[in-house]
Amino acid sequence: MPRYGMVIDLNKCNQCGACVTACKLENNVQIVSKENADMGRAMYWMKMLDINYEGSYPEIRPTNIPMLCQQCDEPSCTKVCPVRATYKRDDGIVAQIYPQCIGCRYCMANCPYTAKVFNWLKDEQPVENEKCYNTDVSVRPKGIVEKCTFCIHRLQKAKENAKSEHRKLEEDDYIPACAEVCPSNAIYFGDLDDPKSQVAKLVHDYRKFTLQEELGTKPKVYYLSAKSE
Amino acid sequence: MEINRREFMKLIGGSFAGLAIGGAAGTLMKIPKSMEPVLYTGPRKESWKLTACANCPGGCSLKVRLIDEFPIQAFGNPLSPVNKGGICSIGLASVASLYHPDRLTGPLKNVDGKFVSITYDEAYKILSDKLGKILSKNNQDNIFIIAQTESQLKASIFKKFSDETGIKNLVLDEFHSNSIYPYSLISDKAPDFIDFEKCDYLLNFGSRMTEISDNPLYFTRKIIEHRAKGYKIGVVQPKLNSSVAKTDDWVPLLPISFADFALGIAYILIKDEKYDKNFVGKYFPEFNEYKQFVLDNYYPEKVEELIGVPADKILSIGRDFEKASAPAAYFDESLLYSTNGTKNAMAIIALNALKGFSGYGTLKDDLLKLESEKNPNSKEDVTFARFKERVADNGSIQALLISGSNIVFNSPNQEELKKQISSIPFVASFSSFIDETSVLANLIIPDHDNFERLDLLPGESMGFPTITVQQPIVTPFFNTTDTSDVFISLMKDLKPDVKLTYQNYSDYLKQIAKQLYTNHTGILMDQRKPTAIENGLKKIGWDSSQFSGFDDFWDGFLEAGGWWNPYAAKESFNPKIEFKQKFSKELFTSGNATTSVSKNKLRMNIFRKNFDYKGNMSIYPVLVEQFGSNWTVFYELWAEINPETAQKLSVNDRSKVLLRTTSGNFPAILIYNPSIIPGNLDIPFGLGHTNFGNNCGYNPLAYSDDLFDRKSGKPSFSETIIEIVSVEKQGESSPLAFNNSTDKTKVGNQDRRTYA
Ligand code: SF4
Ligand code: SF4
Repeated sequence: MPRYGMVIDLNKCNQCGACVTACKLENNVQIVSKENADMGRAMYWMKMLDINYEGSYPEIRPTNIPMLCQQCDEPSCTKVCPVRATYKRDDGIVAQIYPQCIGCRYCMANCPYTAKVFNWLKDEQPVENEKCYNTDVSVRPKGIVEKCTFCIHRLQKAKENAKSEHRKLEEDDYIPACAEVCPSNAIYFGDLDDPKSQVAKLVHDYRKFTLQEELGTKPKVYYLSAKSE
Repeated sequence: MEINRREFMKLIGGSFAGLAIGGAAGTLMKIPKSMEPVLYTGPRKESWKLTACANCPGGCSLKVRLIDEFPIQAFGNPLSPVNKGGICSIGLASVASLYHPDRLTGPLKNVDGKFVSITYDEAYKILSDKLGKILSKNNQDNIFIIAQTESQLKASIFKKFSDETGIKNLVLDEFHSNSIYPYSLISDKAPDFIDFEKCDYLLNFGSRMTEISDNPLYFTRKIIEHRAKGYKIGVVQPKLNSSVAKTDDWVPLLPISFADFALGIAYILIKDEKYDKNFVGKYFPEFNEYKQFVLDNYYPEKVEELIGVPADKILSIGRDFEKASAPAAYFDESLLYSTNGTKNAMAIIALNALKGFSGYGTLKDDLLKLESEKNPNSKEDVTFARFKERVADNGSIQALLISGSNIVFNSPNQEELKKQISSIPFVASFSSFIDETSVLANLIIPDHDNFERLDLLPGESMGFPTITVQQPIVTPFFNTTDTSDVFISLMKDLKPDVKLTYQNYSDYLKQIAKQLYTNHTGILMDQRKPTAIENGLKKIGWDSSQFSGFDDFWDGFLEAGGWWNPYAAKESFNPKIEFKQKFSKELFTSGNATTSVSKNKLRMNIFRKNFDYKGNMSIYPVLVEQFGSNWTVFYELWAEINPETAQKLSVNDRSKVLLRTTSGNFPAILIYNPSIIPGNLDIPFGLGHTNFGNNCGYNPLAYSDDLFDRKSGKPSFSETIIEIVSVEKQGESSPLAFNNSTDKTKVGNQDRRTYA
């Protein structure tokens, strides 16, 4: 059984934001109005954390981090869901079962990465975006929690394709939208337990770190950054 | 046999059964509008097609996903050497424009301030009659054409039209031509590409290379590779944007001072005698005057005094540049957006000459012979500056044709410009939307959407030629017409003597593609780069990719989404540099950026983000929402300020402020950003539409002084003085009369269009 994980090389990422746009469109994540955004209801599964800086002017550089669900091996969100609407799959992906979610938002409160978002509104998108809905992904109704799934629908499709071609799933068959589009090739994705995979090699890079390591959540999203950057 | 509803109910056993299977016995279940696309009934057949993105100059190849023949998503084409599977936010969002509810569905005529639908034939007749009348009186000088396009081939049709009809006033706004325009003033040719195989030091003056440039995705990859090789990159830029993020040296500087900085670097090379004496002796006839001028005026301490960049920084960058065996000082169109734009470019060109342009290269053979190039007289450079002069002279322009350009939104002094354009007796637009410019037109013949159009997008910026095919992914949804076809028809009707070798634009494109076919060079974009051995075999006549004829090639070309020639012959770039003017300070500089701004006054630096290209963001909801998201600012204008400057003015982070320029007041959220040049207020461009897509926020350019580069006519984005006039206090119930004091008339915040 694979254990899916991601490595984001911050020394390559130039904060273009394409991963954020790709995620939003791939997963039919709601675009909210100004009023709702002002109430903190903007919905991003993948977001750029507010810009931070290292150094002082003029020797200063931004230290942006593309942030998504950290797909923890020890997720703190799944433990508090009273109805088991969020759980960790055998392949390591922390999933949401939308019809089961009762909207209590305990999982949101217990996620140290603020990776989860709540559907405050019923889905009413600008018509030009509705026409472009990804038909592989459900549109979530009002009142439930959602988050990055490592584009799990792509895994499903890749498995079906491989099966129809009578072959095993290969490394490049399944890749989330953010990793596919990144112009800097800064996002790597694959099976952390497959020693041949690029991610398995990269997690041994000296630049590696995970977010809030001290909490013991064991994220499967790793970042690479050399101090000099 | 027909079964009506009553009989059917009987058959299924009455209403109980009906209710039991879902309540359809009474009325049909009403599906909420929002669920319609999800419950959509087609077989959901997925297919993929290739086209090119024309939303910026990059020309990336897109892999478009269709469900039941309708495009829903765009990704990067992994087999394209241009973007190699990558794609930017604009490209990702681009499909939505196809379905935008404000798209024009057919030609419109303005009748007493209201647009009414007319047929294409009616619209075309109005246009050709009008032009015919003006031309018959030999008044071609009273007609202007403003065309913004990222297609060199479409541009060549405009040029051909201008040549054949004698309408010389063609203002062509095409990024690539604009970028090389300064070379035409002092050199006999322009380089085709930065030779990254040789280049060991890159000094970028103001180009947003990885965001919006000649080839953003290629430059993104090359900058990573360049640094991995251990080579340095310096960037001279007024803002620490994502093109600067991954570079070694950032020189925060306003564009008005770029020439001073470039001359300061030249001083180091000349003083250290580390310039290419051979090259300057051969190709730079006025070198001695230039040298003396630089030595007299640009020693590091003097430059520090002029522009505020520390002398040791100038020295260290100068030394990096001189040490490099193949440095490239790079600029593109972005450089022109300053009163000093073209002069800056000249100083940078001269700096490159000192190192023999060794970081640049050029392709040996011209990729394509374009229609317009057959006529050498078509070179006359008409820029937006000429249009501004003429339009200000009331009554001197009788007709204006505008294609692809929203000049009103992209100009300062918008109210005046609107008045001037409105006073032109005949304005025809080819916009697909009503925008701030087309709303002023008498006639609109809407162009196709990018996903409905055929075009070829050539590129040379990678050191080998590429042509990406933009092709119809769907048949046009509405009664729209390719603007190139309108101009070809006009050429035929207005100048019947002109012998065109093509009937329409797609014919023309095929003729161009035939050149590729007959040359037998290059490969389609559906295969990996051939090895040197395969290429060697090809050179001596082994050709594995035989096509049975041109039609076969054309089909393959469309299917592959493009063509490229990885082994095109290159040569070093040796232009002749001639200033054609006596050296004087005026040749290079016209202003001084360190002009200290008095107390409370700041310099407005309008910056662009990689979500907007020349005002096109507002029709893409996903981009408008994301625009300020990394500051957690949504659908609102913000202004970034250095915290030290802010503290002197006693304004808090994230406070709502009212800003004032000589053109009016507008609100913004103040954001502390320690990377902002002290004394600057950096404000993003892209929001504040009044007639186009989402009209949230404000357009800072509308409040900008009417300053522009005299040569190119590009408006300055960073020379307006701005003040913070009031601050909304936290928790105060009545803020400082914000809504009342916002001068909305300045941006004409009228309701969105009405047309019948
Ligand atoms: S797409 Fe890549 S380069 Fe752009 S912000 Fe995301 S990770 Fe960074
Ligand atoms: S970089 Fe330019 S051409 Fe490429 S996808 Fe983005 S907007 Fe389109």
